[in-house]
Amino acid sequence: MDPLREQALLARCRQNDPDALGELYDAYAARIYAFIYYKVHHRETAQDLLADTWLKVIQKIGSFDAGKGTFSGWLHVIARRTVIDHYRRLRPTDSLEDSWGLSGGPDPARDAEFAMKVADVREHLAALSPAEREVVIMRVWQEMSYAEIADALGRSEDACKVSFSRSVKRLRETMPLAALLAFLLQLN
Amino acid sequence: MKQDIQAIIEDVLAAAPELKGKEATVRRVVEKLLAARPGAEIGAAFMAQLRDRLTAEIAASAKARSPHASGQLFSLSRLGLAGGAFLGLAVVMTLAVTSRRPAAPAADTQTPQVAVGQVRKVEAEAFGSLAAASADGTLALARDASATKGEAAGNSAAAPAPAGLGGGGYAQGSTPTVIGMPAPPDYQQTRHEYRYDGELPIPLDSVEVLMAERDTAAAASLGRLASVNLGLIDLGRFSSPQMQAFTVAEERDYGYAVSVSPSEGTAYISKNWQRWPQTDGSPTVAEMPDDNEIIAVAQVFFQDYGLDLSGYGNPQVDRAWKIDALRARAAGGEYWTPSYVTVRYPLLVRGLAVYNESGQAQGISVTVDVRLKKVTDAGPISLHNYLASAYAAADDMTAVRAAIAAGGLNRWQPEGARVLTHELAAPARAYLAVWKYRDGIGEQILVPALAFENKDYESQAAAGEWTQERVVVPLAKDLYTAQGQPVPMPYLLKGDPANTATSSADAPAVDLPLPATPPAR
Repeated sequence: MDPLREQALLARCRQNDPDALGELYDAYAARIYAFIYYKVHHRETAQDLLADTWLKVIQKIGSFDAGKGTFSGWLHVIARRTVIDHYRRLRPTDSLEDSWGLSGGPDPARDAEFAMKVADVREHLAALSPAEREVVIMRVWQEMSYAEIADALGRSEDACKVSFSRSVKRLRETMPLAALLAFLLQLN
Repeated sequence: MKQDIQAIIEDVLAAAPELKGKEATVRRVVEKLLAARPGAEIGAAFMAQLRDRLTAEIAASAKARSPHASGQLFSLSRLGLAGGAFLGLAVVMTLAVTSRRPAAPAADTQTPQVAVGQVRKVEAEAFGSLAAASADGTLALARDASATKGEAAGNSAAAPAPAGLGGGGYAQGSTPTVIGMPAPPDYQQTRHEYRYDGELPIPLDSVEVLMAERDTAAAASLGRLASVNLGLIDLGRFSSPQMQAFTVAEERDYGYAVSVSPSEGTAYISKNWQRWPQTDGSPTVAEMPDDNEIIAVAQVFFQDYGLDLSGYGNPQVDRAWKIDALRARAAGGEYWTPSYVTVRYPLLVRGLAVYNESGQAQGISVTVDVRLKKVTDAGPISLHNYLASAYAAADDMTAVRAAIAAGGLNRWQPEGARVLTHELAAPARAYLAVWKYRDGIGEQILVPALAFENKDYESQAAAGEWTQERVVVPLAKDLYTAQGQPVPMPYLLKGDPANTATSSADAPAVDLPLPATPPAR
């Protein structure tokens, strides 16, 4: 989205303009949904959390400071916290940040299609730290540039590149080459 | 595919150096396997429902705003007015009272700002039936007049407007009659069939239909000015006067005149022809400015006159003349480069585009004099304040799909004609602008709709076909349950040299190269 238009829409959003919110939603909702879905692996849960995320946006839009980052990054931060809160509610005694930390057994709250597609790499991805995994998934599945990832995670671009490279090397050590390729090429 | 394959391949090679030298193989594998990614596509229906929920939420959370919204229709103070105190006062009052807010402090009247782009909810089905014929016998729904332009080739049908409203004298309540018109000897009718088999994101329960909010208060307030005895006529003798429209002109070279309708909340700006030079002849192809230059002229004009474009999308230059020129060249005929080119600023309501029933975007049209590089006309410039009323959402998928296949609701397609098939892209949410007539007064209503881009539009236009750029179908149940009978356009009788009526205004906006042939003089 054109930055100037985005600024204008944000200003109108702060005045509770539904049209401006609708336009921002159109621009970002699908991407935020994918970000959430790759964390929870469950369509209905992802939809609920997407709604929660945007309701928080409405509540907090007045606190968004363009001087501290982009709207896209701010949105991802809210979505990420919403997912973490979701797992805290479900399993208050665990420190889960996403569904990858759950056991690999059958889980009714995980889409069968997703589980099947990622079966070969699930174990390896789960072995990464949540932060490493987040970068890998955003880069490979969400097709985000390093600059976008850095913006969303509040980290430097270089740090994200290093994290990705390190993660791939770790995956290479534990995964068969074919599985690694399949993952990186989105075969799973 | 958005993914930067090369970057991914480099990541792979960094992790697996043994694959170096096999980049081509890796690339083929990448391209072949990309589609197998775990799907994370959000359902279109859910997207639409959540959007409605969120926009309703933020609207409900709107707290008391300042007496005047930040937007403004336009600032007439930028015009070099020389019309005297009467017009000056009219300008100030117009801009002050159209805010529809409680009486503002005196100081506010010095700030010519009005509310724009606001939506006020009213009770459900507040606009009455949206269907073709209302109970009082008047024709309740008629097509946007512009929708019929250039459609005489038989790709569309139009519901007639009431007598006196551009309907060509149709008797109300009468049965439409197919009228024969002469056609060229080689004319062949075309049946357009539009294909889309994907998901339809239709809201489950209701849709919010919008109607422009008339500002009677503004007209009445300005009407007080009519108590003035101008010498020519004593306006004070007229009871309950309302200011329906007025025009203000700049008395300077290259000045403009602005015509304002306070009750409609619209304005048109046009050149004050008395202070503009006459320009003769068409420019040459070489003299034609590029699109960016034309848009820049329009943008400067809006900046100079303080016109607020926040409710509009990116401007687009009408390239119809290029299409006409290419067609003329292909036919061995003459063509002309235009002296004026139109720039369109598409209207966005709640962030969604607004189309008429022919799929043409609604908004401000700006005419640019190519050689003077000045704007000559701009309009309609509107306040865009709406009333919103809930109506039941369309639930008959068969009817909706039939409308899509026909190119729109109430579209007539000739039988036995050659068939031209169009593939449609996945739909986007939009508004369909339709006209509702009651007691002889037309009201434009905006019905939530789905807009499907015609994927074959450019290729078919380049092949000389006249077709729709997009198909727009409404999502209000009312329009499907009581839709009127499709009214065929006048059919064409062979044997007369009369040409098929095509309009440059409806020419497809395809970016095609200019013909090399110089224009005929």
